[in-house]
Amino acid sequence: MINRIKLARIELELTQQQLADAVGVTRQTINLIEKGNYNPSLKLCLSICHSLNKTLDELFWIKEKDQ
Amino acid sequence: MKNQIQDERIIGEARKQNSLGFTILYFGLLLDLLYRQFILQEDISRYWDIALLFFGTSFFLAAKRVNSGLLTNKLNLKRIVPSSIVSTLVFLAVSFWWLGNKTPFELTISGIIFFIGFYAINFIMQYISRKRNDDMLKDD
Repeated sequence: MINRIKLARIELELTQQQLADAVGVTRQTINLIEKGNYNPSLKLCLSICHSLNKTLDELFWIKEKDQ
Repeated sequence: MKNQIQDERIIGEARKQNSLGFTILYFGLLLDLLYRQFILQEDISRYWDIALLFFGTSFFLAAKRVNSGLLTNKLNLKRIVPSSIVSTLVFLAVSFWWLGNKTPFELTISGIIFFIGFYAINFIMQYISRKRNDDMLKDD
């Protein structure tokens, strides 16, 4: 799964820690999600979208070959 | 308002590690039981507590799997036959070599009873599991 969290976060001038606090996870988890090393649950995805004022498909999508 | 989501990655990772720890412990207990029974040939009174823990845990896991419908979602009688045959052969081998049960008549009868019992238990478990799966599809 690919995501655009880092760009959206920088647009809002948020640090990883601030985003982590907003969605109730650790900074390590946000870092791993941004690097694509951890696939968050739908609940966490929606929470991140809400915190970054984006829709789900603006932030997360999947490669065609992985579908 | 502060979001109350717990860090799912940490929870998931902790669960994976707990699961691995449980698997190591579970098979460790099994190996310990086999070693005591067949290598040391200890009396069961010396390890009944470990045996109770092991078989109790196995029974609990089997019951939970069946009750959650995870065992199967399709009753397949033919699939039970090979596992029942293999289990019966293992039972007969143990009975013959370790328990000293060498009479052909006794071996045949005990083998037949074991096969039927094993088949019946598997059949009942698959039946209940399938029923649980069917229940999940029912509308309220």
